[in-house]
Amino acid sequence: MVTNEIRTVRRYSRSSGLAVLFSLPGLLLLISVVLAPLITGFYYSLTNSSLISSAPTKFVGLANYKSEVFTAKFGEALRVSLLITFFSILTQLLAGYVIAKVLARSMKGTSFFVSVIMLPMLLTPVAIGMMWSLMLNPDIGAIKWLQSFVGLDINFLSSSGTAMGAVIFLEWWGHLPFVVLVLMAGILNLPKEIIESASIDGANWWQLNLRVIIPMLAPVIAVIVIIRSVNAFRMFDTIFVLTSGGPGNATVNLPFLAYKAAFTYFDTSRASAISVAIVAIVMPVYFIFLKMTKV
Amino acid sequence: MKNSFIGKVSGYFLLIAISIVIIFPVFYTLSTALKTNAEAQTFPPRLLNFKPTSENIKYLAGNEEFYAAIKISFLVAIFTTLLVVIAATPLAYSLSRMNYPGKKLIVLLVTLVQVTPAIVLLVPLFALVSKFGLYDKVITQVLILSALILPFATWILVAFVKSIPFELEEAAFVDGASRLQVIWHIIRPLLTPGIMTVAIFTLIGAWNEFLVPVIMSESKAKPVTVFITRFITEKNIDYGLLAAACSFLFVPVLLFTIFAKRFIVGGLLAGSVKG
Repeated sequence: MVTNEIRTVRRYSRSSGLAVLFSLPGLLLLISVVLAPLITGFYYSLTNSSLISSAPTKFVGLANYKSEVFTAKFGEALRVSLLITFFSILTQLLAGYVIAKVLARSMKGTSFFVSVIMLPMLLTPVAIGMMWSLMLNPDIGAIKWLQSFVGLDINFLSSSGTAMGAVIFLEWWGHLPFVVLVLMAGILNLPKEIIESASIDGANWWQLNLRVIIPMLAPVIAVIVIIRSVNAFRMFDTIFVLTSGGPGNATVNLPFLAYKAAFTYFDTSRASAISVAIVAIVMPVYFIFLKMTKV
Repeated sequence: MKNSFIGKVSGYFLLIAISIVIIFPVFYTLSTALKTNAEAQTFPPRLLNFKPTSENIKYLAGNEEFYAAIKISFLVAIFTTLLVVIAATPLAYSLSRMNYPGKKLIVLLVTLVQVTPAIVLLVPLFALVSKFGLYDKVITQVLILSALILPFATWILVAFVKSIPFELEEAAFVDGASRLQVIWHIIRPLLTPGIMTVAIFTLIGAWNEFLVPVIMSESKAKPVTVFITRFITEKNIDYGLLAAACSFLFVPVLLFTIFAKRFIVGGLLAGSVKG
């Protein structure tokens, strides 16, 4: 302990001029691209500033919050964001666990399958979304053709429930690799003796997985859930090209709502109010992240 | 179960099934890129029994606007990668090995970028960028993307720096080396795989980026990701042309991944499990 403390002191004590030099490029980027816009955005949210109106900027108090945040529309977008987040992560964990277990057996060809499973997270999401919208075309799409083998003919993008299903599926598809790879590493790192002794003691397959392996994986699963929920919550590209928020507003999530306010209606102040509310909503996750970082 | 024949067969069955779900859209894109518009719109779709044509690829290769978009995509990806490496590497070292005023602020801001949807920053940034005459410029996209990727890059590099035993540095200090000498001769070579990982992720991430350029560019700085969205607004989509444009986005990443695979897997784990 004592040597550790001395070491820490020594490690930190030298050349603080160098430290400033080292952190300066990053700090400048963060101040200009993160801190400055955050403060400006908060200011905008309290004014009537707009990109198309030439009226002088006026302070309007909380009016934008009243008209944009405490509304059914905002609640609906929040619900869409949460549904995408919850269902994509749940299904990723279920599928990811089974796939990771198989990959962790290190059968012949595992390395090839890992390469294939990695693909979705590397390919351009917006292009993937465009190709899926072709495949989901109700007249000539490949999905219509595949459905014909099982006697179905669903036009996924035409009704709100199935459109949400399609959006969730694409979020699932795009980020499954991350879940699989991290779970696989977690499974490979588990102490083999415990699993072996449990199975010698007569634990069946269900007991082995539910009572032994999954509890030991809990920290890994927690990291996956935290990282994935942040990303699923901010989903944008795919919604933009696949549904544009439709049908109606059925797939408008919070980022898309803010985008539309700012760049379809050019209402900076209202979009800023939505943005500030989004920051408030992610605050709990922010504190979890801060707790997790040790520097 | 582990070694049983049935276990093995069902394992392969599962892996093949998931591979089909993953490969099908990619295969569909690449094959549609080689079809004429008429052939691309036949129903049922012809997956293999079609006459390949290079018409779409030739058309795009000769299209000035598409050529400009490809150039912008490359420029943004390369300069963002350079800037991220230049900013994140010393930052990661300073965060894990030094103590200085402002360190807390950096951690607070870096973490905020990680959890906040980028649109939150882009709404006010758009107003600021317009005000300072930076709209529709490559440099604007590079700066914003670098800041957005910086947290991920920094935490990966922090994990790499921390995996270097401090005793190595300590021994060199005892032998009278200066901090800069230690960093150059000891840390830099050991950190190279980490820097490679960060560079690869940044290159792919910037190449694939859509939200920042769709907001920050109009004509002069429009990358391929924004270029292709013109097809959704057109009434009669040219399937073959759209698929060919998407293939131009996929193919460099696919080729690149073949040599970068080990860095990608390693980087993911450094960024999530270790960090």
